[in-house]
Amino acid sequence: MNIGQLVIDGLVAGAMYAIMASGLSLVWGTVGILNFAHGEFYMIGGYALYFTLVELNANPLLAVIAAVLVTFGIGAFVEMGVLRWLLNRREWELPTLVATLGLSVFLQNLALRSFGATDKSVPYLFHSVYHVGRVTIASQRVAIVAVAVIAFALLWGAMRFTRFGIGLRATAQDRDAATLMGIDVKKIYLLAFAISAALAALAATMLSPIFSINPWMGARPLLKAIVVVVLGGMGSIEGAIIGGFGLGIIESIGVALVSSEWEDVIAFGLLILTLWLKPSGLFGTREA
Amino acid sequence: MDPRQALLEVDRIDAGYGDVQALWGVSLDLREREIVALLGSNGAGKTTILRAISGLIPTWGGTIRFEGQALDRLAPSEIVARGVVHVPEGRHVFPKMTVLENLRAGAYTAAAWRRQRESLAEVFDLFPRLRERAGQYAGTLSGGEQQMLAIARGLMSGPRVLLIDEPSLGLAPVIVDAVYATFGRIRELGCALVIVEQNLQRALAVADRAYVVTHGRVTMAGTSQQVAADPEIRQAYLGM
Repeated sequence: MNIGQLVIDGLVAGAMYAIMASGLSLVWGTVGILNFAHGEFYMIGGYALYFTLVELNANPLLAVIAAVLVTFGIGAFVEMGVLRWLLNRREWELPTLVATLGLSVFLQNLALRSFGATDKSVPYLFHSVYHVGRVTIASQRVAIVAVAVIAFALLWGAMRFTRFGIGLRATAQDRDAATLMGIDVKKIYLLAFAISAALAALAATMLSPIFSINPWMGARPLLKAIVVVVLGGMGSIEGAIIGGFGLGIIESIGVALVSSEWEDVIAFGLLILTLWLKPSGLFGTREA
Repeated sequence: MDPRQALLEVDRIDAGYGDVQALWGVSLDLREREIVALLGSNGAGKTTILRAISGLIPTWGGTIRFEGQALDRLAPSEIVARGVVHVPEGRHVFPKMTVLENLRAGAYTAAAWRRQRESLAEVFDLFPRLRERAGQYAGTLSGGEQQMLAIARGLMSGPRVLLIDEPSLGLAPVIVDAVYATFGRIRELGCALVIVEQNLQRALAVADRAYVVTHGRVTMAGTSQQVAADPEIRQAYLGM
């Protein structure tokens, strides 16, 4: 067994899990909603990339930026248009959860009606292949990890040093105290939701060349992100990042030991095991 | 501004939670650089008064004015930006943020964020202990240090009025001394204080005036000496 190759493959899958999960965790930790429509932001990012890159023939870098920005805007719109009204109610936890489920089905079917059921594909953004010893890496996959690392560095810095980042963390830790500091919690929710959507779109732009684009493309990334968020600890972004890479590597090695049909058994077995042994996850404070 | 005019004026407000009324026609005022104590037993409505002033709960009737302008109906963030800050009971520091990050969160309003360097120097001067602990997570501080951090965090936006809820709660007497010792200096910085306390002797020793709140109504108002000398108060709260 080529362990080096498996770890590298695991890191690539893990980078995507980590990006998806950090967005999901950001919204859970700040707003308190488990967003079942998170996968659809991934799907929107995929289609946005397809239209800018393939239909408009835009420069790949511009296409990625456009896809991320468009999804950021749609995320903000969804927060303002759907969730904000429900969050104002005294009983908001179940209605918002169900609303995100409904939103997920709505967006999938909207995409189906608008763009059809046929898979769309986008070309690789990077073409070369590297060989390091016995390990083979396509540069597209190197880019996935590099983009993830850059995104996490930016997110980490923003959370620690910017005004909104500090306001966001304060809101996540103690909403009432944050309100008393003059932090506009509604704005923070809006921002958290939009950033979360943008992160999902970023994952999609990196992965669309490998997987294809269709209305249901977000379902699997969402499920994996849920596993990662539970594994890393609900609401912890560090946990989502470490859990994401961890799950990627465990799956990669596990699949090599048995067979690829076992990938989800391994992932969700890990989910159940985490809930049994350490319900708060690796870095979490709240119980899942 | 007329120096005799109140800086903060609470005028016959009613407020409550859900359908339950908690305040009935509460009036009080606070002048520039004044320290006023709000006294009363647990559940009397002292905290509710602070929550109404800081906009955490809506008022049902009456008005709250700050520097002559209505404060009720404003969002909490706008009230902080105007210069009225509420330090909540139980400290409520952000446990997984460092002391420095907690203080920066206190300077969240746009104007305060721009002058956070000066504000930081000011609060570190007031609470040197916090400077030593700047990089430490707030959740690992002692109760007294957390109380100091909560007050310092409230000062980071440069308020004109600081509302402090139960600053002595759960603290050893010597720590309470240290916390109360800062109130005079905060006043010298140009900030008036409303202190909610169950510990009457502490509050009366530092306050210029006091209001006694009973069952959601102000039942007595006067200088600290008048309130301390009142036979009923001595009987009910001081056990004399």
